[in-house]
Amino acid sequence: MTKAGAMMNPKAAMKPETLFITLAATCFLASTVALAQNPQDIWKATQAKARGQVLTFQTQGDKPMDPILEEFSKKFGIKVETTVSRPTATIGRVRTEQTNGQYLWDLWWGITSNMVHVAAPAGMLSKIEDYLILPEVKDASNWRHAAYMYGEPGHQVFTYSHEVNVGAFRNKAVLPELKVDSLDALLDPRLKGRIAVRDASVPNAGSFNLSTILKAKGPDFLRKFLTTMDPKVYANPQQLDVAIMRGGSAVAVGMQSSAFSECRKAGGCKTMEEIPSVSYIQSRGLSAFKNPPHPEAARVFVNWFLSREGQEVFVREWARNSISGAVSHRKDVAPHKDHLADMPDFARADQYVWVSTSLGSKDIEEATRIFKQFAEK
Amino acid sequence: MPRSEMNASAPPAARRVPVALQSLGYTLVLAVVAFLVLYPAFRLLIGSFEVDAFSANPSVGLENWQAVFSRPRLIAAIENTITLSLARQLIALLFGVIIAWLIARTNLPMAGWLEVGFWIALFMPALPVTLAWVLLAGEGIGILNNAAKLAFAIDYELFNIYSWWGIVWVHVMTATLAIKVFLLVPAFRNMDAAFEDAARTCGASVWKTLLHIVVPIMLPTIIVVTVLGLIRSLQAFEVELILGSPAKIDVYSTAIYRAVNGQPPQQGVASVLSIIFLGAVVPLVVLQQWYAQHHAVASVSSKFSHRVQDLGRLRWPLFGVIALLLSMMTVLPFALLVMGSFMKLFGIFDLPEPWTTSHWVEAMTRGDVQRAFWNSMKLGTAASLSGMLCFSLIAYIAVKTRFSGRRILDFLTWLPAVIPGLVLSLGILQMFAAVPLFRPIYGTLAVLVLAVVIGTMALGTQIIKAALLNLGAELEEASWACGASRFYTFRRVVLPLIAPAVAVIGLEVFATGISVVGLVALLGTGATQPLSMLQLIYLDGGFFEPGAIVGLLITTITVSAALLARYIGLKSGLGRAGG
Repeated sequence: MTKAGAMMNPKAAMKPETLFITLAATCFLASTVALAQNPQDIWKATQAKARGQVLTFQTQGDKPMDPILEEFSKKFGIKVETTVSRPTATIGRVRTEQTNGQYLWDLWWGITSNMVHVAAPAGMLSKIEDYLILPEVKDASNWRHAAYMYGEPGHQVFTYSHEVNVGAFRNKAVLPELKVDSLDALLDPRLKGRIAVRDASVPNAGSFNLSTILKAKGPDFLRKFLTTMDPKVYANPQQLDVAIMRGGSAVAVGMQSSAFSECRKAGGCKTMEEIPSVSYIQSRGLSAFKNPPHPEAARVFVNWFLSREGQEVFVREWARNSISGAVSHRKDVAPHKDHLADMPDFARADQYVWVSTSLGSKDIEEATRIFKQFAEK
Repeated sequence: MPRSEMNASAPPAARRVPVALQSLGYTLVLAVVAFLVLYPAFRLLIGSFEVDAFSANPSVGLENWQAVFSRPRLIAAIENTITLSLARQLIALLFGVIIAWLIARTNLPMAGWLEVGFWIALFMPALPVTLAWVLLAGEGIGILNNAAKLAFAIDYELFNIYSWWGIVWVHVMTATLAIKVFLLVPAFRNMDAAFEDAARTCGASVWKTLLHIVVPIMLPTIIVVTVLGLIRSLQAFEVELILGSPAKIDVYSTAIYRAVNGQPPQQGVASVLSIIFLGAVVPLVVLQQWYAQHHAVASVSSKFSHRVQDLGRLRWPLFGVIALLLSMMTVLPFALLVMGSFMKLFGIFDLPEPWTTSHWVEAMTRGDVQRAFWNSMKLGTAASLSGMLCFSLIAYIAVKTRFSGRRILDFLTWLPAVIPGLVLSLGILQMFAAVPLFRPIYGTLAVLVLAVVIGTMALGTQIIKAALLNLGAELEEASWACGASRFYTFRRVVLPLIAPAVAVIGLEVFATGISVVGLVALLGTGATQPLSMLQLIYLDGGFFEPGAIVGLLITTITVSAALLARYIGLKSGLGRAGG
């Protein structure tokens, strides 16, 4: 007899008590699954599992992170251990560990450039989307622009904050007769040798700024600027700041906006101004490393931090401890009043260079390549 | 007969421990050292063939080698590296030998304090001090330049730190000269004055005695210090990166730095560059070893005397010159660093209120600074003690035994020095991540201690080895003839004589442990990160002021340790000439 035939045979049919037990078990399982799929229950279960775990972070050491993590630890009873590293060091280290079967880190928190451009393509990260539990976090309509929730198409990097940075600065105390009100003015022969540029061969504000010039004026302009204007290249951010602020250079390309803001806040840099140009957006985000040792604790942090409550803590602490960047991508969390200028205008989002997301990859790569050609000549 | 071979012939009285057991012990030391230094080197070689290591599909090939040899500015970078290194080493060698001799062997006033001054110069944090020099002599912004324009009514820049000579100057003013004095003074102190006395009796002047007697006797030590200095110079990149970039002066090590810090990091390219460097430097090491084997002279014998040479009328003028040099090396940059740490924005004076104490308040109250402080103390102390013990043992085996593998052991200790630090740290990381034996300690402070010991192995072993080579064999033979064991002789005869050199190495390893960045950058965790990493993070982020505070803290710790070591040395009599 075939299997199908046996199923049709009344003698072979299931006994009533067996049928009852099977049905009851199925109903119980179904209800359990239904209950377990309730996000609040999953959230509670995850929190319970995470209690007592030590969440391991790789960060870039931003000062506001400490009070945020303190608040998180206190609320959930999860200990946190942060290791502060340069992003390139994090990449090299974690890659080596993972290649040797060592999975020691849970989360990576900071500017997302290296997460997006190196770690994600190398397969070093988990899909952060899978870590999202709370509906208020998962719901794309809660974020200012759904297209900018993730740093790259694989949804491995969640970008919760986008900050506008300007391109270049001018010190009017040097060559005061010169009008530098557009990028075109950067090719004025009188500026030859009086322009300071941050070394753009490695990712930093220098390569970001050059990518904005590239976007605004094209590769030929950038080449011409680098080759004919004889800019002075500075490797250290402090060096560049001192060069422009003390009047050693007339123009600085690659200076951090925050350094300028700091100077203005202290009542200085009165002769300095921004050169109108394309701006770039630096994004901050979270990613989870592949096979994190404490996935529950990681989930708890990701969901709490990306919730309204967590983002409010982020904006509050960032404004308290940093000169810029206290802007959340969440719609229901207002940017800090002193940091309003840092908030991107999403209506014209395509006009920025998104240096820390995959949208900006091409611009950055091209700008870095052109700079290297100039530097290696 | 070469000195080392003479030293190696021990009389039977010393051989209390069975020969087989001794050989087993020496072989074990050789095996451990070989593993610790060859593993990173081996990983370096493997890494040079790994293509697209950070892509989803890494492969194996020769692309990294091709990329290196097709670099347009590689030859120019090599030329700059060689000329810059030679220039500063020659200058530092000339002045270093003279100053070390003046401090150790003459009646120069306040010689002990001048020596401490060079220690301070050596322990000053390199990056903030370089930036301080930028503020002093930077083109267009330098305080000295502006002062010169006002004082002499000139309209050009008197100094330009962004130049070939600017790089040489900053190096000489920071570690290059200071380390020569630091390492040579103890060696010079151990020299028997009988040689100088004989020369002076024959009518030679002070300077002729220095040139024709002291220098030839001390040449093996001088060569070790020079080769170590040259290797360090060839690897240096921080000063070159800051001062060389505006002047378009590239050096070899900046190419390695850029490869390691690229997006994505080009570790394969960095490995190739390091292998080429290793290949170029190894002949220097071989040459030094050959020279040391054939030309070592025992300058400490049973008839040791330490009579200082009289400088006569030159005493105070020479003191003045060295004091002036030291103040340029220490007081000037130190004052700028202290000033910078109290400024709202480093170097910006035209603010309504340019001064603040907020950076200090923040640094002193931050939990991570306090934790990093204790980590640094533990790291420095543990590395220093382990280093002194291990390097003394290795140097002793290399010089004073007939162990057949002693020359290989000696050669191996050089390897960590000839692999650029940025790449060595990656090799050490591979070792800890891949070797199951090390995994339990990965993430602990022990890993950092081991990394610092590996990183300072060449310097430590070679300096102690040079001190051992200076010891006459009859000192130990006398002890053995009286029935003392090899260990007892080492403890009671050899160790007190080489103690100044061992102490200096202990101090240098401590200072490295406190200030090291490259070696531990990939190994520390939040719980074990030392102060030096915090400093790097601040400076990287453009926060000079807190970075300067951490730098000052590091300098204070190291100088305090140096002063304490000196005090203990003087109290116990070890710091005095001849041990």
